[in-house]
Formats: sequence, structure tokens, C-alpha cells
Amino acid sequence: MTQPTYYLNPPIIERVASVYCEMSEETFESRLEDWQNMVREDFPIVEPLKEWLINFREVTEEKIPVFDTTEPTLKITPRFSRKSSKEGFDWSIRCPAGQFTVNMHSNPTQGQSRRYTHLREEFARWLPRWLQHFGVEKVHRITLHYVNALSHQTVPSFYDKAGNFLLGKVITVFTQIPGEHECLMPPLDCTATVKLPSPPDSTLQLTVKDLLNPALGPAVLLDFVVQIPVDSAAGAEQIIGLLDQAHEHIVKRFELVFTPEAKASFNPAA
Amino acid sequence: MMILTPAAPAVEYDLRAAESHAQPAHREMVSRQDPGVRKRTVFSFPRTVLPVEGGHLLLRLTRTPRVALDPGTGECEVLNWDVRLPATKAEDLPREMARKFLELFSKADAGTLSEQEQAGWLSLLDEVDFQAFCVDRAAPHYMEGRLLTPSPQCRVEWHDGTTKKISPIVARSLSLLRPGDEFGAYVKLDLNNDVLGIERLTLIG
Repeated sequence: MTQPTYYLNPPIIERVASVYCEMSEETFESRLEDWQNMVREDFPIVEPLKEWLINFREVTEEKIPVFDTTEPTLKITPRFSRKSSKEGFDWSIRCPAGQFTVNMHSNPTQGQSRRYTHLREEFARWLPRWLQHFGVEKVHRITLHYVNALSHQTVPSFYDKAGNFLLGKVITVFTQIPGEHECLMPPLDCTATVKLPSPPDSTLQLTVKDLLNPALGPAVLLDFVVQIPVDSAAGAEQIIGLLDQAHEHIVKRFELVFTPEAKASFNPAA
Repeated sequence: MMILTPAAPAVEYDLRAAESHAQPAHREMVSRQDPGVRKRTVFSFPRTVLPVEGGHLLLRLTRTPRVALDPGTGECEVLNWDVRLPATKAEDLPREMARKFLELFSKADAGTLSEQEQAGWLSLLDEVDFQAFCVDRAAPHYMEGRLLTPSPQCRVEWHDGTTKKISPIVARSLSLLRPGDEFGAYVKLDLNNDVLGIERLTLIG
């Protein structure tokens, strides 16, 4: 079996590993403060994520979404990081009830000093502590999520003199539109989910979305998310093993989704 | 050949788990309802408990709190709780709610509630399970009993003749005892007189 190619400058800006389980609010709230004290030794910045969620429902005959004032929800997610959000987080942990997530950021333009192994190491360090602290006996699923930013900073050689982004020369998916046209235009928002051959019932979601940041010019976020259901008896070691399998799936798709020219620009190691 | 299966995925993906997706999508939605100028929007704040004393004691809520967000002042208010904070500090709402309860509870206990506070306290009692709070907060009291069986199901006969099953976690406090041993201990009970904790164990006779 050939080893996957290692790139010095892949356009990956964030890797996210998560586990999900059932957890009562009582269990969570009664143990959260002690957990925070443990986590804050390594992740001293506390910036809970506040989300004022407003739902829209189609309630008219004309099928026009009408603002439903009975549904809005305030959701607060505990979040700890090594740097503040203004500094880009660097590393962060999110732990709402029934979820444990580790986020690792990287800067593609500064050389690929961070790899999956770094996320794996940190995740493997904290997962057993989280399982034990909250008394988790059964994890339902894991996800591994890679965020790729395709912009002037990460793939500068794929912009023409007019500043247009030659997206079709970077990725092989969601760019083949039959018919005659001049270019793609925002909004670009494509998602496909495929069932993977193994582990059973695992899936991969691929998302390509335009990045709405005027300072960057035309740019795109490309996400790979692998989700694997977890056997009820799985412990921390088995969960990490599943995370490794999720990583292998993403690596294989990375090779297929990016064009040979794009991959050459990511500086493959000799 | 690529086929599309009618079976939907078991769970949905949440791209927002990535910090890189924290920015909201700037997509336009159409509403036919006039939101009004400076109109307060009321959000539900789904939670059933508030941690008190670092989570060692929980205040159970009887209904989902509702938070009004005022775009004019930038403040949010927990309705019926008289708790207000800048919206940017919304993460402190549970802490401030628990503090408000404790403040009024302490004054009610000491009989020092003002007329206005009295009304607030009565309103708050509709929002929380006060009876459960009092039971949870009560100090353990001394009881004597006899260990009937240590495992697989630990059972104890108390001095009043009642027999109770003890959960495995609590039963660890009795692990040194043999069947038939009589003991005294400080015992914490819940509303149903089930044992929540056993401490300061002594052997009798």
C-alpha cells in the first residue's frame, strides 16, 4: 500500500474532531465547573459561544417564510481556547452537554507545521478525561471535519490578471455545469453526502461554498466531514481508531477532489 | 454508476462546529411581518437546571426561561427573574439567575424581603422547584441501620424498620461492612427518602 502524499502547504485552515453522546443536563451542569477548572489549565481563554437562533417557518399559503416569534432560542456553548477569537483561537475545545470537540487551526501560508497527528494527540489526551469526568458510557458517533480555504492566499497561482478565481483548475467537483456560460457567480453553495464502504453506516459530506469576505476577493471554503457511528461498547482507544479511519477517508478524497495542478501547488514533499 | 438512495443520513452535519464557519451566512430571507422599530424579541433559553455551589447543588426549573433581547439598549432580560445583562454577556445569565434566587432565598429565610422583593420572590417560586431545592440543600442527618445484603443489590434496614435499596455508587460507603453489621452514619435523602449519600460511618455494637 502506497503512503499518502504529504503536502507542505495544503489549504487546510482547520481540523475538527468531535464525539457525541447522550448526557442529561443534570449530569452536565453538576460536573461542568470542575471540568472547566481542568480544561482551563491548558486552554485559558474562556469565550462561550452565544447563538441567538431565529427559526423561519413557512406558515402562509404563498410559501413565503414568515418570522416566527415563538421559536427563537438562545444557545450558549462553553468554549475554551489557547488564543482569543480575535487572535484566531489556535486551539480550542467546545463542550456543550453531550458533545466534546477539539478544533485545531493552521495557517497554510506559513508551511504545514500542523498535521492530523497533532490533532489526534490532543484529542487522545482529552477524550479519556472527558469520558471519565462526565461518566460517559456510550458514545453515539464521531466526526472529523477538515476546512480548506481556497483563496488568493492559499492558491495564488489560480487567479488571472483580472482577479478571477480559476476554480475549475483547482477542484474536480461541483464545477462542471453543462451548457455555455462565462463563469460561476456567487452564491456558490454545493453539498453532497455519500455513504462510505466502511466502517458500517459511515458517511462523507463534501461542501463547496463561496467565502464571503470582500478582502479576499473571490474565494471558496471546501469542507470534508466524515461521520462514523460508534459501537456502544467502544472506549477511548477504539474511538481514536475510528478517528484514524475517518482521516484516511479524508486523505483519499483530498487526492481526488483537488486537480494535479492544485496538488502540485501545495508543495508535495519529496 | 452513482445512485441516490432514499434513505436519509441518520444525523445531520453541523459545519458550525468549525470556528471557520462561525461567521453567519449572509443570505437574504424574506419576512412578511413587520418586525417593528426597536421591538424586543423573546428567545427561549432551554435549560432545566441551574448550578449552585459549583454544581454540587442544582436548582431545578419548572419552566423554560425566556430571555427578551432589546435592540435599543443592547440588553437582555430573563423574564420573571428580574435579571438583566448586556447581550454581550449573555453567557452569565445562568450564574446571575442562580445568584438572584440565592439572594431572595437568603432574604426570605432571614425575613428581610422588601415589599418589592417579596413580589419578585413569589414570582420566582413559580419558576423553580423549591421543594426539591430545600431537600437537596438539607444537611445529612444521623441515622442507624443494618446491612442486609452488600451485593449485587445493596439493601439496608433502617432503625424505623424500613428497607431501602442503595445505589452502587452510594453503596461504596458501606463496602467495609459485612451482612448483618449495624452502623450509624450521616445520610442524605431525596424527596422519596431514597439515599443520595452516606458519610461519617461508624460501626455499632
